[in-house]
Amino acid sequence: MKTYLVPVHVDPVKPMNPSHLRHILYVDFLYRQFKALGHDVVYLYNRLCFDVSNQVIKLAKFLESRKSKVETSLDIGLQYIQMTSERFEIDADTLYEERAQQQTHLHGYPYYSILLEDWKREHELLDVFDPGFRSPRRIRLTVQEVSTVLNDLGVIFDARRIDGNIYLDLTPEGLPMRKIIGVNEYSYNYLFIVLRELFEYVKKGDEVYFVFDPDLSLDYELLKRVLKKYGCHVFNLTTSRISLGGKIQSARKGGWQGYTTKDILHRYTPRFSSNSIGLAIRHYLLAKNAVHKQFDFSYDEFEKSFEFAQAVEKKYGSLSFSELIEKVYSPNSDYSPPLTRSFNIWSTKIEKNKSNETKR
Amino acid sequence: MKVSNLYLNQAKLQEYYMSRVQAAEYVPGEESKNAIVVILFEYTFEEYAHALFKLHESLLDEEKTVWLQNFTETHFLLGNPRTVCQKDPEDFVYISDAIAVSRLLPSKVAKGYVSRCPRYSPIKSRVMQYAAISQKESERLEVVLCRSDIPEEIVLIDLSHVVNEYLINNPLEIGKVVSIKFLSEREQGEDVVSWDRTRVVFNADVKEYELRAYIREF
Repeated sequence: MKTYLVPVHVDPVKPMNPSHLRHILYVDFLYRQFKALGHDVVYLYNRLCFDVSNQVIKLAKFLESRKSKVETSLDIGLQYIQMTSERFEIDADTLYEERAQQQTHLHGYPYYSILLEDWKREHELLDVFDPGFRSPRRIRLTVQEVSTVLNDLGVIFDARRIDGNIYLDLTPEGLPMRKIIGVNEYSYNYLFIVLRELFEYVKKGDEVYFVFDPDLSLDYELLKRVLKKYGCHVFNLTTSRISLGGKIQSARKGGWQGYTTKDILHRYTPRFSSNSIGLAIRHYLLAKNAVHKQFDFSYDEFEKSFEFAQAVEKKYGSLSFSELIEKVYSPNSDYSPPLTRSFNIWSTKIEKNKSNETKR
Repeated sequence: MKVSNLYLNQAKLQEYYMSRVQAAEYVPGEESKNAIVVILFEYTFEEYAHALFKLHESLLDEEKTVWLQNFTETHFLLGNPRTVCQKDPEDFVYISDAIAVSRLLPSKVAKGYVSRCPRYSPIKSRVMQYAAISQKESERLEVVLCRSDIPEEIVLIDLSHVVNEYLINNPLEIGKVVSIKFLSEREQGEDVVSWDRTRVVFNADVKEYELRAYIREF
């Protein structure tokens, strides 16, 4: 039996803000725990999923049409805001053509060399597993093959000859129908991409952990039920957004300037080691404020989490997060917390273990 | 076929419709308390009309009164009738592979279906050819639609109201046949005097009905 970790992919159209970072750190926490506990875990990630997303293609076309000179991730994020405010759109034919190109050649976009390189560096500094920013995979299953699987499960409503769409149909369970693809084989949405990826890998009896923004809960409830009918054990986990300056809003509206991962790293380097920053940011985003909790990001509050990082370093030494997890879960460890989906519980137990030791 | 009571029935129908239209006009924007849900996968005029008979049969006396006195919304939704109705089959009076028609439902319940299924939006410009429905023993009603370029969704709404409201007020007797004829705009233009106001047109934007139905008894 395998364990599949299936996170929503953050679209590379802006620098990573605390909400994105929290999502990525949480998935990383789960992934490392599964590995340390000996699960046969697969982090299901394919860069192609965002290469073909509407937002990414639109941004690439926008940059191309404006001949915008972008040199930093910030420039790209600002262009993204500009694109949104101008209500820049591309027609369906352009979208489908670009998707066809990306699916065939897997070449990505020129601006990736700036943005994804930053993301990669940030992942390294914070010791976050790189799921494959540079290695998109071709999709093997055809539209027809995916439709056949869904049809066999009895969860599809094919209305192509009426309104041109195929829907996921779980209305018998009281859930709304959801369009997943139109007549054109490239007119799919992200749900279809996820299903296409999943059916290529997962088998009956496998465990699937979806991790996503609560705004997508309804979509993921549909996916959960489809996968359950397929014979998988499915768990839906959410990571709430973090407000910036008192506002929770989409990155396309801005407001993230000064709060990007790059900004955070820059602010505390070299005063703290990257291991310390990594632990402190995990403590602040995942433990002090549980992943399902919305809160306002505050540098003052964040800095208090360095106390946690220092306490852990005092006990275990200066370790990267992956080393720490391995050490904590190793067979020779004096304390091995069980698998938990909450970083809060995990970190609290580590601290408790520390205080028990102090008492002894 | 002998035409009888032609003008009387037309006037009656107009009267009924106008009272409901007025009722609807007095409550602009207000939520109606009842609604009908029609789930469509494949629209066939014959089957839809057949389903409407079932709807009519299902109405209790008080529901008939409600139908006549209030603005009753009809939601046309796209879906697989068999799966959509699986959860609460008792909400429906007719279910087939192609069409399902609900009983008179509280609006709240109807909205549940609206939230689950996309709106049925057929191709508006389709030119439709309707055949007559033969009289059946249990449904002594004949509905005739001539060749029409009326948008399909308008016909759907027209028909639900024409059939139902006519039957509520004119219980059929054995051997009597009622013919309902929908006319295309072109035909109206050719014979304005005879056919003007003989269709029921629902303007979804302002929630208003316009009476243009023509019914005659034989």
